[in-house]
Amino acid sequence: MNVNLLMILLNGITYAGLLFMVASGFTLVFGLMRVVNLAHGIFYLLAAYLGLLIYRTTGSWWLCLIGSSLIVAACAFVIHSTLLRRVQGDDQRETLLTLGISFVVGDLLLAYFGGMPQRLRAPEMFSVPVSLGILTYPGFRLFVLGIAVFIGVFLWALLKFTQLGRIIRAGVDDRDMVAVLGIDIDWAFVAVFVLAGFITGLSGVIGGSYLVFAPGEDIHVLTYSLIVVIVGGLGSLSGVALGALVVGLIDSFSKTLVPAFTMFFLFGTLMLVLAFRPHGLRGREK
Amino acid sequence: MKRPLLFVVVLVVIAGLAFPAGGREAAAPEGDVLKVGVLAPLTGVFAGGGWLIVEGVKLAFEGVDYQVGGRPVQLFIEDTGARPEMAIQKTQRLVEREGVQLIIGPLSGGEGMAMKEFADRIPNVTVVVAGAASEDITMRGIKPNVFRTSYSGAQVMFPFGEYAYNELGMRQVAVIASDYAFPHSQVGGFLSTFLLAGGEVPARIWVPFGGPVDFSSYIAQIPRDIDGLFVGLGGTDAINFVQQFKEFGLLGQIPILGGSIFVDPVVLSQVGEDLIGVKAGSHYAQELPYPEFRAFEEAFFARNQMPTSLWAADYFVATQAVIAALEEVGGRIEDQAGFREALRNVELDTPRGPFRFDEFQNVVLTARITEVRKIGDQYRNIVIKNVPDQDQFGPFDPDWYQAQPPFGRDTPTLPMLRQAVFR
Repeated sequence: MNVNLLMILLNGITYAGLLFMVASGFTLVFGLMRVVNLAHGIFYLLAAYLGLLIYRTTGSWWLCLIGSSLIVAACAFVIHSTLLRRVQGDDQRETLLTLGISFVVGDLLLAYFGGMPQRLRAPEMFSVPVSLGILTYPGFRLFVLGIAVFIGVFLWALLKFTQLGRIIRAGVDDRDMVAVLGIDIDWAFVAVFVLAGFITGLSGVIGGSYLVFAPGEDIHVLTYSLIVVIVGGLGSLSGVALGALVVGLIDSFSKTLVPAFTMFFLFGTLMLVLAFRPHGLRGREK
Repeated sequence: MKRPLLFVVVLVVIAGLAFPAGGREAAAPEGDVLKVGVLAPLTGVFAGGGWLIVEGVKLAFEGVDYQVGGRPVQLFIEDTGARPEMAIQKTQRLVEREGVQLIIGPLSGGEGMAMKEFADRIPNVTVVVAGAASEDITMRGIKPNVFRTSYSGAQVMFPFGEYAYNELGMRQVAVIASDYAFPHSQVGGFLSTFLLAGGEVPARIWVPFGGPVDFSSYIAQIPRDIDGLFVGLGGTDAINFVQQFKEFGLLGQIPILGGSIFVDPVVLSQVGEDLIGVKAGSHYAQELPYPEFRAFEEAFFARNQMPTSLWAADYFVATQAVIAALEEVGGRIEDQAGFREALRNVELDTPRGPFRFDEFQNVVLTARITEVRKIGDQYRNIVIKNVPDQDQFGPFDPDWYQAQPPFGRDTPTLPMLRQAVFR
């Protein structure tokens, strides 16, 4: 039972790593900047499919990791500066606009790549099982967890210690006040949007190397990102980490112990959080 | 923030639910048009194989130039997303708005059961179930207007359970499968003969269908000291499972026995190298000794650059049966009684082999045991054993079989099987 318990724990924690990676780009945009970006899921899928293209032409997984993340970041920049900027601050228009983008891009992907499920192949060195003393564990899951921790630390340091981070935190609290102080707040928000695009791109390629992707996967990604961010708390980075961990562990334990009730526990938790802590586990009132 | 958040959640839910695409109608041909509805999953878990299904139907109609009994055929292809409620909704639309009197489909077990219930409300329509394999569609009370040309989950699995015990020498086999009617039936068929032969099943692990794709927690539950693992998964689930099974270092440690849709070409195209040597129970393979098979395979490959799949073949065969019956009645689908009588008596040589119906309007077919091999640069299922003339009751007496509850998560059990009445 001890080995089993350890396995369930590890499964939950590494799954949380994947969830954190996927949701962190979303929380930057939705949680911090309060831009309702429903195109998040399609960014993920776009990155995975771009990765497939790059992999087919170059054969290098690392190139597709960096390449598609950069392209998705560029797409984020273009979408922000041409479309999103015009509706900034209007939740409903943002919602409809980004949902529209996600449908259009989703259909383009379906038309070009077809409906067949695809996957990326991570380098062999990651996909070997690793021996952890009493049990063997997939190396790639540990790699994903490592990347997630790295992204988390990076974002935390960025927000806490850099000038950009200070501007963002101040801007989230009172955008007009920051602008009055002569700081180019718009530029800072564009930077965050592009950064979020880049991280989502990373998660798309890494996620696409771990799980199969196909048209429609974007809705899953978006749903899970929403759950993680809502449970964790809007606008809080540590909240996303906590949210991912809660969701990951609930998923892992319920699947093992009461598999038929996985969805019940997942959405039950979401409902409880919304009912008793509407701002999430670590969110703050505004 | 409260209201926008709610708005967002509602929108996402709507986006998720409303996705299955609308109907695609070919341009209406001139003359006394014969309308045929086709139900297939073009989105969702089975989207990968969904478009191949439609190819199967089109190929069969192209073979007769879209002319049956002197009438031009018009296809109405509808996406169900493999969801029962959507299958019903689309059927209702086809029947009420388009006046369709013949439906080919649906694919998945849940959809098939929903269609059986719905059949009473559309007595002037014949449903030819072309893919769904949950067994109750054609037993425990049949509907006069529901036929099945595909198979029942257990039908092709009875020989496989015996084979695993006798020929593969397996004694302990665990099961991991999707938690719905079709895998219940496949596992039930396999275990019926495996348990009767003397085998044991130390664990039955059921995975929610269409749920999350992280299999690690299910893989953790697989006992390590077993002779084999029966995998009743399909589509993207199967691919994800194989990849993660490998990453946990279990591939090659525990031999895999496959359900009928586990070793589909879509799955093999992604993880074929990991599945070499895997045996499965089915009624189809990528190499069969019939001229009809070769012709179908070649025509299909020319159009799609892919080997034929079980699903494409099943829909092709369904369409062939429909065409044969329609020719018999001169294309008069409006005479439903006559059409059904003709359909009941259809006997055909198909890419799957000889085809006929039993008295329950379910197909009698050749069950097969297949093995994945690498041929050229493709991974294919090769037949290693044929069991001709299999119907949906296997070795059991039809009356006894239908008196038992349908297979579920914990059935069959050995005590229940010990009471069995054989033919």
